[in-house]
Amino acid sequence: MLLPRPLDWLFDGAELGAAYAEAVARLAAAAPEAGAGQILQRAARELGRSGRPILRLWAQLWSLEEPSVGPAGRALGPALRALDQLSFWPQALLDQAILRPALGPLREVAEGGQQLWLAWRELERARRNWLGQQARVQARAQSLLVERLRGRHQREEPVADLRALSVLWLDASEAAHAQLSRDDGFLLAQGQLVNALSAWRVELREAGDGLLMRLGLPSRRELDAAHERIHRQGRELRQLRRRLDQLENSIGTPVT
Amino acid sequence: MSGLRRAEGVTPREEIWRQDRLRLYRYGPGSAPGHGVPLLIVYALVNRPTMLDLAPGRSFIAGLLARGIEVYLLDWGYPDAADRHLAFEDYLDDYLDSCVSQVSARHGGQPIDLLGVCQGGVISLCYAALHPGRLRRLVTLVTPVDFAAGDNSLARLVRDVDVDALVDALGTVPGELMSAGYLALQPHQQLVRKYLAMPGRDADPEERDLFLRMEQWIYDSPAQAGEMFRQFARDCFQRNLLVRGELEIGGQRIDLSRIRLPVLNVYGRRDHLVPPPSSQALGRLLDGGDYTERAIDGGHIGIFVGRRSEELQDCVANWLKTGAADPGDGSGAACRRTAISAAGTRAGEGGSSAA
Repeated sequence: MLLPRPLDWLFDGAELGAAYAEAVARLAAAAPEAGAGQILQRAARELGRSGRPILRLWAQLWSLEEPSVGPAGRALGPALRALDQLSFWPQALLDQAILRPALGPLREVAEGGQQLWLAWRELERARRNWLGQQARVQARAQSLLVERLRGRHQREEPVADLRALSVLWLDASEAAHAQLSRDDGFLLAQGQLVNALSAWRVELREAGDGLLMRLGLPSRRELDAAHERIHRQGRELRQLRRRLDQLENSIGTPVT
Repeated sequence: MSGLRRAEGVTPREEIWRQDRLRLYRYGPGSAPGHGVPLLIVYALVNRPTMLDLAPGRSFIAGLLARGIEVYLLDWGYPDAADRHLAFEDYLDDYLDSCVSQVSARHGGQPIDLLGVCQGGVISLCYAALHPGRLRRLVTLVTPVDFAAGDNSLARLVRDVDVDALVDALGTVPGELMSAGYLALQPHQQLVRKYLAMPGRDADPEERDLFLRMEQWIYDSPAQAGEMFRQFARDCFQRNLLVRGELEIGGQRIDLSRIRLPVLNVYGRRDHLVPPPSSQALGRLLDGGDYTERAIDGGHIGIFVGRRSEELQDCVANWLKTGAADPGDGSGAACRRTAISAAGTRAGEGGSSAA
């Protein structure tokens, strides 16, 4: 991470954390008699706290798109997003500073930096989009888990222990992933993330190559060109050898 | 990559030839070639062929040897940044063709048998289409042919990826990226669930050993030569050119219907990487020669190392020796055989398809 955007990163992490916290809270509320809730309560007591209120508060804080959460939870997301826009380096200001026309003897260096910035910005956008898809998967996994726990409760099949609970959670997550990873939106987000990483990597390499050339060291570009030449000549040599073998076979004597 | 991460097989072997990163191995006791028709195994470029010789009692190669097949293995090695320009035609017309020549020369210059696994099956099919006179029989195992058929998770994974940009950016595609791609198909299973279920300290040592060997194999991913990766991902996975007869390698079009030699095509019924319809498409394309199709109950890897791996060994060895994929005990219910006469008319159809 070259440019810190602390709230951005915190917020992304929290979206995933929210999915998990919400799942645990729902789990505790939905199936207390099935064993899972009791286990969680017991685990929380061992930590010297009452688990459920903390989990509920956590879920309310971060479940920003859940209509049933309280006003604090609903307000927090937009507030954080708004705060982020006013954070240390708002994107618009950075754009203005970095993307101004490059002039003077360092023009090429400045243009390289601009390309790097644009690629980073695109990578950030793609990363957030992809994280959004992952959050969808986690949300779907929660629903599946609750459904399955409810089913077990109705069938009077209690969850035996935390290990069994984690297996149920993993199965629900895998099922949710299998369902949603077929979506156009998911595939597009995944593809765009890879493409943005590729573009970012190209810009990084260009910057590195420029530095190496100034230091008089072989750059990636020069090595690639050399490898291509060696490869082409090797292929030609082998083709010539094959033709020579064919000639030898046709006339029955070695060609010198 | 450290020595610990590079898994070795369990069956004794001898290196008989090498070129660049490539190594050609002969398996079995002694150094003198036998009298039977040799079999050359071509594994995929992704992952290592160690999987075919993973553990004692779980070795496809040892199983073939025990059934009297003389086995050679083409090991593509580990490409690095210097190999980024290796293209499909280099792998096909140079590396594979040279290995076929080497093996054939050791056995009196006669046509040999070729067996391709997964991507190695695609490479083998292309080779058979371009060099029909050099082979006697062809076996394809868990080989994708129609990349749009069935629920092809790998095709989905690369659907929106700009492959040209990726290769231009990376040159040689790192093995770690390939591993990450496979993990992304079943992340919870592969990253967490598997380890919850892994054999513990008090488990059967053999089972524990197999788990660790498999674990070592999974993450022993060679890098991919850029140009080869570009063409395979773009032309096969994204454009599906192979099944349409439009794939071009080194300026030559690959027309699978030109393959006239006997072909055995085996796929796993529960293969999540190469869904059965993707492999079954081969039967529709081979409109000449002798085509046998066999489904085995297992996944992409499970059919080689699972508890029923001997079924695959029997199937391949019997077919190579007799032309029948099943032992002559009438148990061949899962085998479909379509024999076409040399003149191209259907000569007979026996058995039934359970695939």
